Amino acid sequence: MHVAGRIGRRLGVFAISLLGASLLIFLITKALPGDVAQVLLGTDATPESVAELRRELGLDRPLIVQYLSWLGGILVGDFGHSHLSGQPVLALLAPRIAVTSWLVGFGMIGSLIIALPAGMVAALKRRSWPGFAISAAAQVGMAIPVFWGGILLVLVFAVWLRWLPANGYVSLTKDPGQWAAHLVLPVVTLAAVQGAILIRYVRSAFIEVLNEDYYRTARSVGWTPMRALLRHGVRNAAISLVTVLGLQLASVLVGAIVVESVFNLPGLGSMLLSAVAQRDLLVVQGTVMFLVLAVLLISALVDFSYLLIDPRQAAVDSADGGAAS
Amino acid sequence: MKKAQLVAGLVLVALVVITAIVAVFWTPFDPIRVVPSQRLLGPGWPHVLGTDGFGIDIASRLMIGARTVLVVGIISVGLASIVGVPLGMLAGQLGGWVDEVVMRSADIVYAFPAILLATLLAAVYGSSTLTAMIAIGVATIPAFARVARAGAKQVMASDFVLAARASGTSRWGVAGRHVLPNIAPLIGVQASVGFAMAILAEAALSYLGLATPRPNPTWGNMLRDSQQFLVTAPLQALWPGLAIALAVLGFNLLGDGLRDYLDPRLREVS
Amino acid sequence: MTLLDVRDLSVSFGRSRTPAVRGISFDLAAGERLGVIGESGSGKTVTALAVMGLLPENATVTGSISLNATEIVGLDEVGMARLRGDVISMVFQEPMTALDPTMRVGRQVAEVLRLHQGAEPGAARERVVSMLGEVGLTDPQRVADAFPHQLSGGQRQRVIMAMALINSPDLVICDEPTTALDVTVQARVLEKLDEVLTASAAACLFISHDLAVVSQVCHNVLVMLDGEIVEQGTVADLFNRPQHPYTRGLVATARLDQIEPGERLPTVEDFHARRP
Repeated sequence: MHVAGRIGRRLGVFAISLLGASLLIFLITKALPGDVAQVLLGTDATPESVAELRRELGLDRPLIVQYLSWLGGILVGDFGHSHLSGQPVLALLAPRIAVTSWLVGFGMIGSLIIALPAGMVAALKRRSWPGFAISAAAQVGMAIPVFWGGILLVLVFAVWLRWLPANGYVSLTKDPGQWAAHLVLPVVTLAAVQGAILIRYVRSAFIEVLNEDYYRTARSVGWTPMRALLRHGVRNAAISLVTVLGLQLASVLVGAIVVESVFNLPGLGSMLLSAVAQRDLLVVQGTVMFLVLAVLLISALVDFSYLLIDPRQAAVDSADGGAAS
Repeated sequence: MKKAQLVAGLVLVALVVITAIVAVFWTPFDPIRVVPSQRLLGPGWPHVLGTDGFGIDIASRLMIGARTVLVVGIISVGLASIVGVPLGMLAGQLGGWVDEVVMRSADIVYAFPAILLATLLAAVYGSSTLTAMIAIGVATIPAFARVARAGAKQVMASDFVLAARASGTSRWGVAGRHVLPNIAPLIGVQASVGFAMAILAEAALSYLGLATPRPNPTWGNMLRDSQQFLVTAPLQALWPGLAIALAVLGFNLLGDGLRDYLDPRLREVS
Repeated sequence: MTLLDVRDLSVSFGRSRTPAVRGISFDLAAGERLGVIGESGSGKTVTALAVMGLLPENATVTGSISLNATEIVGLDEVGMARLRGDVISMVFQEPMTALDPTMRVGRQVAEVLRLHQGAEPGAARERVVSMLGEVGLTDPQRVADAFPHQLSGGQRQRVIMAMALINSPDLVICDEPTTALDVTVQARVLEKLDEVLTASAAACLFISHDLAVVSQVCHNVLVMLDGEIVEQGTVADLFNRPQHPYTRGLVATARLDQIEPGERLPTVEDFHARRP
C-alpha cells in the first residue's frame, strides 16, 4: 500500500533527523576548551571539585558511550538535570510548555487568517493595484523585526490606549479573561509577521491554481473568479501549502521565543534564555534538544496531513479502466 | 514596477553601506561614553535623534550599529556560502548517495534556527558578536547548499555540459568552468536574501542578549534598552527598529529585483 | 431564429499589433451545429473564449457578440457567470486535467446543477447519475463517487460533457473535444456527443482542425485562417465545391484515399501559399 510506505519513509526521515540533530547538539557542547564540568563550576573551582563533577556526570567515559547514554535518556524523557537547582530539565519545562504552545498555536492560526485571504486576493488581482498593494505590504511586514513590532504594539495599546496589559501572563485556569488579554498582543505580533511571510507562498500557490485547467472548467460552468478559487482552489493549494507550514514551524518557534522575551511570558523561550545567562549548560542542552525534537515531530505530523488531503495519495493503482471508455 | 524594486533596494542598501563605512572613521558623538547630564533628550540639535538613557547620542549609536550589521552580514553570509556552495555543487553534480547525504544533513541543520545554535554557543563561550556570526552562518548553510544544488543540477542537464564531458573535460573542469559561472547569479540573489535574514537574526539575537554585549551598540540591543523608557521616551524605540526594517527591506528588494532581472536570462541556461 | 450573432469581432492581446481575430462575422441558429475549422493560431479557440467571456485580462475585444439578444462584449463578470453553465457551456480539449483532482466527480457535476437551479443535494444526485448514464458511462453510480484520477481519459471527457449539458444550455461550444483521446475512443465519444446534442436540441459551435470529424457532427462549417473567416458553407458545399484555395488544400489533404499510389501527396501549400 502506498500510504503505509510513505508514512514509513517519513518516519525514517524523522528518525534520521533526530539522530543527526542530537549528534550536532552533543558535539557542540563537547567542543569546548576545558569541559562541561569546568563551565558549570566556573573559573575559580578547585581541580578536585571539577574532577569530582566530571565523574558524577560521566564525562570520563568514552565519547560514544556518553552520546548513547544521553540519547537513551532523551528517548525515555530524561533531558538532563539543572546543575544549579538539581531539578530534571523536563520538570522545569513542563509548566512552561502550555504558554509557548498557546503562543505558537494561536500565532500560526492567526498567520493563516491573515495570509489566506490576502494571498488569494493578491493572486486574483495580481496585475492590478490591490495585488501590488498586498505584495508590498507583505514585503514591508517581513522586514519588521518581530520584537520591534511587539514593542510598537505595546506602545500603542498598552501605554497610550491602555486597552491591554504590557506584559506578564495569567494562566487559563485562573482567569480566562486575563489569560486572553495577556495573550492578545503577543499573538498578534507573531501572527502579523508570520502572516506577512506566508502571503507570498499563498499567493504563488493560488496563482498556480489559476493556471490549472480545472480552474478554467470551474469558470466555464458559471463560478465567478473568487468563488471558483474558493471551491476548487483552496483544497488544491492546501496541498502545497501544508509542506510550507511544516517548514515555517522553526521560524514560528524562534518568533515565539523572542515574543516571550518582549512580553515577559513564562514560556520555554524565557527559560532557555535565563539558563544561558546562568551558564546552566545542561539545561540549555536539554531545552534545545527538546525544542528541536518538538519541531521535527510536529513537521512530520504536518507532512502526514498532506497524505490525508490529497485523494490521489491513497490510490491503489487503478485497475478500474472500465468498459465504457 | 520591477525596476523600481531593484532601484529602491539599491538605494536602501547603499544607505546602510555608506553609513557603515563612515562610522568606521567618524561619528558625531562618542557612541560609548556615558554622559549623565544629557540623558533622554528628545530629537533636536545637536543630537538629531536624541539621547538614550545613558546620555549617549542615538544617531552615533545607530551608525555603529550599521557597521556591526555589515560585518555580521558579510561574515555569516560569507561563511554560509563558502561551506554551502561547494557542498551543494557536489550534491548537484555527483547525485546519488552524495546528494542524499548532503541533503539530509542540510535538512537537519535547517531544523536548527540560528537562535538555538546561538544559545548553545553562548552558554558555552558567552555571548559575543563572534558566536552570533557563527550561529547565523552555520544556520544559513543549508539555504546556500540548496540553491547551489538546484543550479548545479540544471546546468549539468544542459547541452553544453554534455558536450564538455563528451570532449573529455574533467569533473573539476566542468565545475569550475561551467557550473560555477552559471550558478553565480543565483548565489548572488541568495546572498542578498541571506544578508537580509542575517540582519534580522542578529537583531533578534542582540535583543535577547545573545550577541554583542553592551555597551557596544547594535540595533537589537538598542531596542532592548529603549523598552525601559517606553513611557518616558517612546521615540527611542522608533529609530533602531526603523533602521532594521529599512535595511532588511533594502536587501530583500535587492534580492528580489536581481532575481526578476536574472529570470529571463536564467532560462537561457537550461 | 438566430441564437448567436457575431458581428465584426476583433480580439487582440496586450500590446501586440497583430490581432488574433480580425473582424469576423457569423451567426448560429437555434439547434444548428457549426463547425470551425482552422490550424493552430487561426483564432478559432480565441473566438470560442470570447463568446464564453473567458479571455485573459490583457485581451481587447471589439465588435459585438449577441446571444439570445444579450450583448456579451462588455458584459460584467456577474452577468456573464450567470450565463455560463446554464445558457452557454464549453467542453475543452484536455480531459485529463480538466477536473478538480480533490473532489469526487459526481459532486463536480452536481455543482453545475445546484449553481444554476439551486437543487437540493439529494435531488441533484439523481439527476447527476442519470446524466452520467446519458453520456454513455456504464455504472454511473460508481463513476459519480469516483475521483478523477480513478477514471480514464474517455470517461473524464464524458463527465465534462455531462457537466456541459446538465442544465440544457442553448449553446454548447466544443473545442477539439476528442483530439486528446485515444483514436479508438474518439469515434465513440463523438457519436455520443452527437446523440446528446440532438436529444437536447442544443446549438453547437464545434472547433477542430480535422475536417472529417467536423463533417460527422456539423451541418455548416466556417474556415478560419490567420484570424479571419475565409469560407463558410454547408459541409457538403465545402467538400464538393471548395472556393478558397486554403479550403481546397484542406479538402485535398483530407481525402488522401483519392491519391494514386506512387503519386506525391498533396499539401495545403500546394493550394494556398503561406505568407512568409
